[in-house]
Amino acid sequence: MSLINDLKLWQSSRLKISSETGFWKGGNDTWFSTLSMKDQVIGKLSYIQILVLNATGKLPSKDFASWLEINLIGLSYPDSRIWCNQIAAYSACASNTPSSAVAAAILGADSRAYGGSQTSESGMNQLNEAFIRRQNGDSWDTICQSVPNRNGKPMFIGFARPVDKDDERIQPYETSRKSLNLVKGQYLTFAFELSQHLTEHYSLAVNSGGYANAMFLDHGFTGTEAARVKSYAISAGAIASYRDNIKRTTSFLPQHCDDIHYTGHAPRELP
Amino acid sequence: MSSKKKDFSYSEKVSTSITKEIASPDNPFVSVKQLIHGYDLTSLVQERSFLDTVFLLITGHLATTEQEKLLNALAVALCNLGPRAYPCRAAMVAGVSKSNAGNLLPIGLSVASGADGGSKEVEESHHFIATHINDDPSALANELTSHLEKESDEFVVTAGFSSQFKHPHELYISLANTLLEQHQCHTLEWALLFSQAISHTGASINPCGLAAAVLFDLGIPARESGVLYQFLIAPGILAHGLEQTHKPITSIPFLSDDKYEFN
Repeated sequence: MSLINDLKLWQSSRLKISSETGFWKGGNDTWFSTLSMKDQVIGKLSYIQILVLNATGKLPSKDFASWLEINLIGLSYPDSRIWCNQIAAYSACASNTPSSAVAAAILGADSRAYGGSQTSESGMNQLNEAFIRRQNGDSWDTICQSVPNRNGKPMFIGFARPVDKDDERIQPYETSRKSLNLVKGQYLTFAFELSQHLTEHYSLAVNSGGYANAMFLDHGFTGTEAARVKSYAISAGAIASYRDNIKRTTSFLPQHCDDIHYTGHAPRELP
Repeated sequence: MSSKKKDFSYSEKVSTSITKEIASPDNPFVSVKQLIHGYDLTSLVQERSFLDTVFLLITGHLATTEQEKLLNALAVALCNLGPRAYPCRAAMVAGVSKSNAGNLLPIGLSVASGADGGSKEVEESHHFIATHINDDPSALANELTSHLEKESDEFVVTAGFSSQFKHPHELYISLANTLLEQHQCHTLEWALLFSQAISHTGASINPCGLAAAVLFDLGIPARESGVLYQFLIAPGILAHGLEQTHKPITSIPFLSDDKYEFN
């Protein structure tokens, strides 16, 4: 085979873009997947529907998109103690642009621990596995033993809320789900059953992430797709922390030198 | 303390074993002296190189002369991935499209954070090397390549060892050999033997594998190696991105509709 034939795949895409997501034809129209912006998108679909379509290729119902918007509000707390918002606050104090601050905050929330993106993927995969185990007849104890354990408690992503601090978002999520006539699907039902077991035995309960993960699964999305949808879910909260600090005359959380606890080597001379 | 509180208690202070700042007697917010792992920064400025100090920051101890030279050689080898590498291209697009100059490096380095050519690949390659450094490179190559499809468009034998457009990474093989000629680096020697053993697939050591092998030899852990790789490739990203900021937005191609295929 000649070298040129060998490189056919790359030669064919050199100086050419191939897309399955959309197309901008300047001065004419833009296609979001197969939907015409002028005829089928503007005024007919919500921003959240377009976000989900662009991220997953699936157009969600208006009602699910409306619920998802409420979930995103639940990830938009304007409180600078939250880690990603704290990053935006530092960025503001350094007189960065709002985009730079929010981009930094989004990267901060690209986290295994919180943020809604990575945690959606890992949490939905874990919830789905637990669901299948239950469907196959596994006991709750067996299911709890199948996940990582910390301090004697099973670590289900999205179910780490201590019961003495109920997640204030669960009730509004439920109320809005009902008002939007979104049925309580098999995953959400399972999530509440799991939460009940965890509450009774480990003082843990479902949180916002666990609820949202179940909703995504009930509406036919994978963890990978949900992670894309929520890739910048915290941005509205981050920009609030930016606003709070960009005009501040004193710095955000100023520290004395000894506010940092030094645990390292004692002073020494260079050899 | 109850188990509930134990699970969710946070520290009163940030702690670090790296830096000790000595406060001004007149103002507790202001430092007058800084120690890095116990060494006075002023003394480091006087007596140590930049990369030696970076090594100290990452590892907690000073590099030997040979370690410093090896790290310096690796830094030069990786300092410019070139204008076709995705991290550089991202910075160049940002530069020419008039993003703030201060955004160029974060943009390029965030593109260099993934499992395909980024810090994650270096980290994974480091784990691979740590697992197999005592294995026979040829036997390991046979084991890992026997299942690969011969007609595959691209070979990724494992993190740090892949083909590039069906071709070995010739430049980085050459750079790795140059490093090996001038420095003692047992891990890189092993990596090059493994690279040779997989050459029938078209794959070879790549920049991430080169970084992982040398940083493994320098005793730098996997996660730190991945991020240090980003640090070492930064100069080329910066230079190419900055160059574009001085050019009009029309100085890079914007593909016409006939070059855009929508399926």
